Amino acid sequence: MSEHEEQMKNLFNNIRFDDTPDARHRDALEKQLLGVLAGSGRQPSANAEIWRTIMTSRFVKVAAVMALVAVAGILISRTGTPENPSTVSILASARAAEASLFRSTGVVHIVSEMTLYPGGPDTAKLLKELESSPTYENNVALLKSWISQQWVPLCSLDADGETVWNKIEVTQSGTEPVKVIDAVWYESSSGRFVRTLEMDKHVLFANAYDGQAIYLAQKGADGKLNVVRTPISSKFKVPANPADFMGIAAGVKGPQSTMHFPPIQEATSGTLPDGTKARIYKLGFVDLFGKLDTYFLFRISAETDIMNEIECVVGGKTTRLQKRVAAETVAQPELAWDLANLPKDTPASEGPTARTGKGAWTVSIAEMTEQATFPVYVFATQPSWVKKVQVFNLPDETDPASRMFAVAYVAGDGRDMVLTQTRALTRYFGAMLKGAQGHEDQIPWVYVSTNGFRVIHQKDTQTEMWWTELALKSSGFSPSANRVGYILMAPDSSFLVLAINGPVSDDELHGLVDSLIPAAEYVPQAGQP
Amino acid sequence: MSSAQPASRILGDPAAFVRLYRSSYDVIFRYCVHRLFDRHTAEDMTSEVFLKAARHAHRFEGLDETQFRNWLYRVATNEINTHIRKTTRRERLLRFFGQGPDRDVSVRNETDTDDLERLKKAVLALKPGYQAVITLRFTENLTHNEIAGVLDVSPGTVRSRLSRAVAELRARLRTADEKGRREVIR
Repeated sequence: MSEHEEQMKNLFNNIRFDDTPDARHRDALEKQLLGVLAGSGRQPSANAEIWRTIMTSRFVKVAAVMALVAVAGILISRTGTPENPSTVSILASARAAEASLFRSTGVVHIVSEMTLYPGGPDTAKLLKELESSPTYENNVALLKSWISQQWVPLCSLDADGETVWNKIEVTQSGTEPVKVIDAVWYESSSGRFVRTLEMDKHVLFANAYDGQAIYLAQKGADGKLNVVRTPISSKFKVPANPADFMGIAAGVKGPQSTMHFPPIQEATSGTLPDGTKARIYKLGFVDLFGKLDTYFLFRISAETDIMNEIECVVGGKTTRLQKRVAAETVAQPELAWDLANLPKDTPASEGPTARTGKGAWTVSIAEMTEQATFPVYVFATQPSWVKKVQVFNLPDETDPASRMFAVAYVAGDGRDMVLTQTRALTRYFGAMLKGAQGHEDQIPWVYVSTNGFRVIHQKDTQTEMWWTELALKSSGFSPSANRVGYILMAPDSSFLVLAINGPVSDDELHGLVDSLIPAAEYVPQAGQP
Repeated sequence: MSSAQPASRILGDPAAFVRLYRSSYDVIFRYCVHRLFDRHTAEDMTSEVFLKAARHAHRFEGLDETQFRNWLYRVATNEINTHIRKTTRRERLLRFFGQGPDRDVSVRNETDTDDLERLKKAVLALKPGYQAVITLRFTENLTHNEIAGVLDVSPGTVRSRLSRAVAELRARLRTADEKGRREVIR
């Protein structure tokens, strides 16, 4: 350093500026930066009308965020105060009436017929198409597919005496409906039972209890039935009401013991196939456009209060019809209580095929981490208003090998939350963002957390109200008028959706999002899973 | 910022950018204050620097935090120089200083006040390029090599530019001293 430079340095050093930064400016600028960063993550491309379309199209606005939440929501049930007591009371009385069928002396034989109608779209294929070509048309096709997806829930009993949710999927190549026969033999004096599902005279699935062990038979990849015997555990108790896992409504109940269905929209009267009078209830959610074209129809005998039919209608078309065709007392079951004489050779038919697998069940956060094949996140610490947390493991229709997880945060002040995550969400929103390249400024990013989560808030009241109502109500929560919903993009570019049943301040939202951590890092708090 | 994670890392990871922002804000704000002698303008300029950095993070090709800071210095230098050139801020600042003490930048004691006023006027009368090299060298205490990195010139250019800037600043300070003495005599 030259002499002159040395002198100059001393001059500057001797003058002490008051150059202390103002923390308020620093913080305000940080927020501004986060907004910029949220919208500038990708380079523009020419293919990009879709997000703008999503934000302006009446139809897609709904669906852009909602399809999966809706699917998850319909399947989720949660213990708690029923939001819709009239539905619950009807179902409770039907359940009690159905229980009486199983109390007959001797061996009760109940047969139900499940008709699955063709025409269901291939959701997995449509998602792949959207990923490769994120066009408006492909998006709409996928969303319709999601909404109309169907898998048939099927309950069985495990060696602990707990109800297990399985699913049965039927692939239909033709135009004719497929019939699955659900046959039950039950001995009330011992609790022994045999249950089979048959299609084309081939057994697809069987569950049995012989007083010592539980038997589960499912069709393997080789087309043959594999029977697994599991001795009952010390916890095992014969279920008080076998209708809870073998009844006609068992398959459409939530994974919890308390039923929670959509609200009753209509109550009419009619007749059953045998001419007896029936009460008919239509249960469903009215969509954003005020349309009720997706619903359940319960047909209940007016004389016995027993539920005789459940019809599932999606988009105005019947997709599934379950009806009881026989209930009688027999001397012996056709199959042995231990399935010893179960015909195992069930060659795949030329036409429809069926696959069974585990359906929905509750898990701990640690179990979610183990079972998830994609990144899953939870709040590191529950906000002060949350009193209880439940995690549901659900099917992912787009990827049978994958799962969907819904974390329900039960609030003490009504601000319940549902955090839904699945690989399909990531693929779906990833495709949406790919389609939105070049129009990032139109995506309503509202926050980027310090842990790298980006938040989209679709501040369209009607849209937001619709899907959050669906998500919350289906999860057993009573939606409030000021509920909100957010789409979250994790640092690894996976997506989650968060519905909150009440107002949250910016600070509260930021606190929530800032506290998201990989579920593997979660340390359970007292009373939490 | 870990090694081997250049611009793409920042671009794809807002959290990483925020961490860098928090560690760099004070440095850049002080540089802006030292260049502009005006807290409000310095805050505006600091905002411009970081917003520009966020929007153009993909242009950053460095690998570590020091390189990121130097890149910010360069962005800030360009912004400030452009600001000075494109507006009449420089002249307005000079007029403002002629009208009374700066309301935004204070000094720690009375003795410093006169020196600060004198220095402000002298520095702000320099060409923006000279202001930059003076500030980077004497208030930010960057080495010649670091300044070369910030200004994207060779260290030799920095030395010669700094030499000329110091000479001109000394001359202006001498002029200011003589003017001050004449005013005292009158």
